[in-house]
Amino acid sequence: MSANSPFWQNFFRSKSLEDQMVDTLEKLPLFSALSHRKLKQISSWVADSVYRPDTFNQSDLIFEQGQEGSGMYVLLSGQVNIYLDYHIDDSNLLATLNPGDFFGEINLLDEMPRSATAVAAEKSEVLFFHGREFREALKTNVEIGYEVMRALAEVLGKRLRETDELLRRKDVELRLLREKLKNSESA
Amino acid sequence: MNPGNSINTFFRLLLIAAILAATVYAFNFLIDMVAISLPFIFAFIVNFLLSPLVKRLEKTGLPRSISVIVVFMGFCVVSVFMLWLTFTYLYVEITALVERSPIGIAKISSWIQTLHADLADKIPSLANFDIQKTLIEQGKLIAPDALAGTPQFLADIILVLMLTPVFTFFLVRDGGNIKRWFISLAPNKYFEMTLTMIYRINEQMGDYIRGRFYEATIVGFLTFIAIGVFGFPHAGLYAVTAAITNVIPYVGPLLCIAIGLFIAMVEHASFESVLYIGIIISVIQLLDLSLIYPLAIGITVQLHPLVVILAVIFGSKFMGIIGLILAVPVVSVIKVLFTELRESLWRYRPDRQHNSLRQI
Repeated sequence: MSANSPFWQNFFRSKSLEDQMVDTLEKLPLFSALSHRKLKQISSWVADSVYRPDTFNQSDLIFEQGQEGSGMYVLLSGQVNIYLDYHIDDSNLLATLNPGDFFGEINLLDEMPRSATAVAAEKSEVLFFHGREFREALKTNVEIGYEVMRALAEVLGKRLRETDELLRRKDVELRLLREKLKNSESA
Repeated sequence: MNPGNSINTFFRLLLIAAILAATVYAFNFLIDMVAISLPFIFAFIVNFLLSPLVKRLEKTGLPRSISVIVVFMGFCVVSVFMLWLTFTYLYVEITALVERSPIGIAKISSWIQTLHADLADKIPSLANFDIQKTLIEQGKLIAPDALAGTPQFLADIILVLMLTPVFTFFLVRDGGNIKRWFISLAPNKYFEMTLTMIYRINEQMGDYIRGRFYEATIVGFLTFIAIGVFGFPHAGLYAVTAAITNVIPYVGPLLCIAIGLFIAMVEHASFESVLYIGIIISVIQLLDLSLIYPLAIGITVQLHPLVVILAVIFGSKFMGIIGLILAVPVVSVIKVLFTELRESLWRYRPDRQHNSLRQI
């Protein structure tokens, strides 16, 4: 049996998987602060928590608001729309995501219900990071775990600030509308 | 009555009968499969013990393939050494016990005769009932079957000993890929639910099997120390009995006490010694139930004791000794499946969710 036989390639395939994982992780903001060496170090542990579901066709539901969430998705190809109250008002589009974007990241920290609905806008491929397994993987190295969690906190903080800003703008709009309504009633 | 309706009812009944027959057939098939796939079941159990060690080695920076080989080799060496040590020790112990058994058996025989005479005095109808003769006749009936089954039993053990390490190696090495393949079978819609379910089953089974292993080891060790400290011989024999029977919930401790008392009777033929050994084993079993079991297994398998006992009874009825051991893990897996399906499919219902949102 030669060293290039499928048996040995299969046996040592963890090596190529690690490389693939490093390539994928490097593109994610969560891991952007880590050096190539550190990424290589954690790739095999993180690989255990990453899954690849089948390709989603256009209009396929990836997850739905209210459904118990168990991890984060990373969009590899295609486009994904994020909706609030999808079935009530399909036009309530929050965001359109492109390859490299990630969504459902809060469920890397907990198993709470999803706060929005994700639908494939076109044929899309995703990676799924399972929250519990991911957290266990990060425990293996406290320093790297801290850096990844800090990056996650930064992303969540940024999104929270954006939501605050949006709410503030909506609040101003609402007050202006109320005043207009009051003026028109008094007139 | 409309004839069309009665035909429909007939076909429905036929369908129900067919489903019932298929279920019974599938159940029997499953039981046969479990009996055949013993090496796989053992490999599955050992996999839960070895996987954490592989992960621990991986943390040190060793590649996965090397970690698997190191852990597997270590497991083989330790297992062979432990088996050799245990069997050598047990052989010496059992040989010594058999050599001394005529004295013990004679004593037990005289006890039975005295007891029979006392009982016959009080209940005259028992005078014609010969206990010893009945026991010997029963023994003669059981012995040929037991002897006839011995070659098959030995062949099964050799098969299990040969195949278990092979299956274990591939399960430890490819466990993650097997899981991925299994998850890939689920439609995308149920992807997360399947993943969470497998994760929880894995976690619960792993905790249970590791907990049982630690518990059996501690109980065996305590029995060895206690019997040895009180100066009774064959401490190893009692320890191995306590450790092995410990894997059977609730029934195991009773079985251990019964076997322990039998060994004590054959060995010592003295009422005091039998009583002391009985007390020592019972105290350790109580300690296990009240302290070791909650610490080692804790809240991993939150099943009502009655459910556990029923599971053990059904397990032994359908699958013998293997059923006794597997009953609790199987019931706990069913519980996880049921809970997860209820959580995912019943509690979360899009229509209800959206109705409530509409109300807001």
